[in-house]
Amino acid sequence: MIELKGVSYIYPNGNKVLDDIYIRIENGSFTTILGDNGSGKSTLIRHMNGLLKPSQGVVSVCGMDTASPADIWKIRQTVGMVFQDPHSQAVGATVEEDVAFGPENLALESDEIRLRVTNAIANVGLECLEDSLLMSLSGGQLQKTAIAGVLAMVPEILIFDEVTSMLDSDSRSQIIDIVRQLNKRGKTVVYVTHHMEEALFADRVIVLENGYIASDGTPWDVFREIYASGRKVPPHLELAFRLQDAGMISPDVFPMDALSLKEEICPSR
Amino acid sequence: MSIEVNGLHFSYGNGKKRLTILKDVTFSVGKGEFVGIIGNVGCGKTTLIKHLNGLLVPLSGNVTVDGFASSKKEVCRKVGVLFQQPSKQLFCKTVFEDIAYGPSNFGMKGDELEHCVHDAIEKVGLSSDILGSSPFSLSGGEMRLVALAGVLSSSPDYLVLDEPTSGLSTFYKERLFKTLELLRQNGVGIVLVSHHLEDVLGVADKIVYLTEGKMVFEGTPEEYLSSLSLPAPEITVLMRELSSSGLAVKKTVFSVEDAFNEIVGALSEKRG
Amino acid sequence: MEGFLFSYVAGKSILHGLDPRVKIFSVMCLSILIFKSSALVDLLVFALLFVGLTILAGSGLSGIMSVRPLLPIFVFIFLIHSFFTEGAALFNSQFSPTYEGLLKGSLVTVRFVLLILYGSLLTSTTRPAVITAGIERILRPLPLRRVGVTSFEIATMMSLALYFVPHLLWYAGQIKDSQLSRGSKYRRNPISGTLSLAIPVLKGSMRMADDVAMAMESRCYQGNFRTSLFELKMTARDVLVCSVVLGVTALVLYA
Repeated sequence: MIELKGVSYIYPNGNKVLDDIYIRIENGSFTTILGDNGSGKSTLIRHMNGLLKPSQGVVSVCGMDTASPADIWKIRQTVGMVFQDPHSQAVGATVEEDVAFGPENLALESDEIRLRVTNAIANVGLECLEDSLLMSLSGGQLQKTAIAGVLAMVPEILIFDEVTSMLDSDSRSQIIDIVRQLNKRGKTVVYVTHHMEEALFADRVIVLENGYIASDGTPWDVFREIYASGRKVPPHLELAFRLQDAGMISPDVFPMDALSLKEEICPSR
Repeated sequence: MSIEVNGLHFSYGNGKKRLTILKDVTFSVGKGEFVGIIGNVGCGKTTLIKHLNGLLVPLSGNVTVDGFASSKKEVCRKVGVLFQQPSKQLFCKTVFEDIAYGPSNFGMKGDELEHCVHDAIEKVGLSSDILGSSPFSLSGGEMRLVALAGVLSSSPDYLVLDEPTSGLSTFYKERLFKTLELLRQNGVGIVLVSHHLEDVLGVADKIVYLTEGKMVFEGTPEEYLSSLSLPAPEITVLMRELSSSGLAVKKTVFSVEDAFNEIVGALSEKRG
Repeated sequence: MEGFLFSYVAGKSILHGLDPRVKIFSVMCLSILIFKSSALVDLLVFALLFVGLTILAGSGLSGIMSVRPLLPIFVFIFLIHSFFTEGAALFNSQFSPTYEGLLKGSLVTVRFVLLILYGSLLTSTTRPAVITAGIERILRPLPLRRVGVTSFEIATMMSLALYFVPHLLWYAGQIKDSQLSRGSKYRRNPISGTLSLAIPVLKGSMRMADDVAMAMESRCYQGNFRTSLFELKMTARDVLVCSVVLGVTALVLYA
């Protein structure tokens, strides 16, 4: 569980990026943090594993204060983080070496490291590329390697910082599938994105705007709110909302994709 | 006056490992024309783009820009390219220097250069306040628009964009398309390469579909949407499904607005 | 990228199975011996030994072919020596190679080629990560902490470079494309052209380094102690090879 209480963050140059944020992330939940470029979402999540310390307020991870140096390594083992640029987080020459980096830092025995590496690589479906040079991989494969690298630390909570924003659409949907699978297997997920489509799968969506929380709720509530304020939502949702407003389909439907609207519009009997 | 790509082939490596990237690609981009190139990873679009402004020279077939062979120096001035990752094409200390890089290479100086930079940043809809800051202090969306300004400052006759919407929020996306529309009205020929169908179909005059280096389709967006063998936007797929289950809707619709009107029309008629 | 200079070729040979420390030690001994030998005939022995080991490693000719890109350097070294060594001139002209020069040139060149070949034999039979682990174990007893680093940090630095350097080259390519398409060809001064590529790439590498550092920190990197996926264990075979190499080296040097 992660808890932020009254967190503000002010950059050394005086810019206030986060303003009095209260968030509680429950165990096993899937939370998406949605925000435009520059809304402060990266700054926010960097507080969740102690990469940044709040200027004001307290961040605690499973009861440990991120500001206390004694707990910081325990916190980083508990909260794994995957970053945006697949090319700037590789730390080994081959896939398995990269994945082994974390467990090696934990000073585990090599048998244990091997076990964790094999498991982590299987979790992201890169078994056949174990031995490949990272330099020869595509962005999507690199990003899967990065996820495996974090999984090898066996964290309880996973944070994904715009991990798909530099990927093509195929890799994007593969990565999202992996993230959803991990959540189903019990990992707590915090997923940061500016793609609204990627927020549909979450239990909870938090919208960040200029450093404060603009809305917080289920995807349905949040997307309704965004739609009501006249801004763009994913096309199939916009269509669904408009049809609902026109009384054409049931007002309780929250379709995950366009095709699931078909039954609503034109029920087969 | 146009970019003409004729029977373009490209491959590298040799012997058994020879990899063919482009096979017999032929199309043209006229002034003020908007061409959308659709294709997924590995379809050869990056290689194709590099041919359009002379970064690569065709091994067989030819590429000409307003009659110049693409290997000629003039071509890199006529055709501006916005590469996929803005963070990997900005390289100067300040935004100003980055935007000025192109025109100063072409010999522009002093007030004229200053004016040109301000003009470019205005065209992409950013404030000139950021001219003094480092491009790397900007957000991803701003970076992309700065990179675009850096291409527009040389006032190219043709603009090629590689996946310009990836990583862009709706806000910057709308801004980008506004800029493109303006350029098109001023007679700039635009090539937009993307796998995001909705981005391309709404604005392009012509669609080219590439898979594994081959041109599988060339035609209008309307024709593209009627072809059942090509990947379709999700709204279009829904419309096709609705139509096949007996609802009288147009199948080639992909925008929410049109789909809504079609569905409401058909449903009201059906339900009386 | 197959057959690329100093790249690893997977295999299950005896050479692949040796402990990296033994291999590093052996290559060092061989280098000393190669430098000590002053006759081409001696070097022939090392060349034959190399062929034998290559066959043992089962890596075939790809190892030898991989030094091809260095050919100009070999030729350069040979020519420098043949022309600038004093002795009996070969032709009757002001600027001529000498007999002594040809001899010395071939000696130095063959030494150099052999060193490179043995080096590439080491790298082609040992995973980069295992080499770094070996170097780390060799360095561990040294009092490096006094100069402010640990053997682990040095090893991590090496393995980071294995990805970072090729990635940086790729990044430089992207920047170059961007500059070319924005008219850098029109620049008159070629030196400013090179600089205008080098500086942004350097700065870019700093930014990337910041990102990588953050990713490493998130994965609990502390630098003072870590273990390795590839645990090193000296077997009887390793000890045997090590003592044979040491014995032969001592014999040649002091007998």
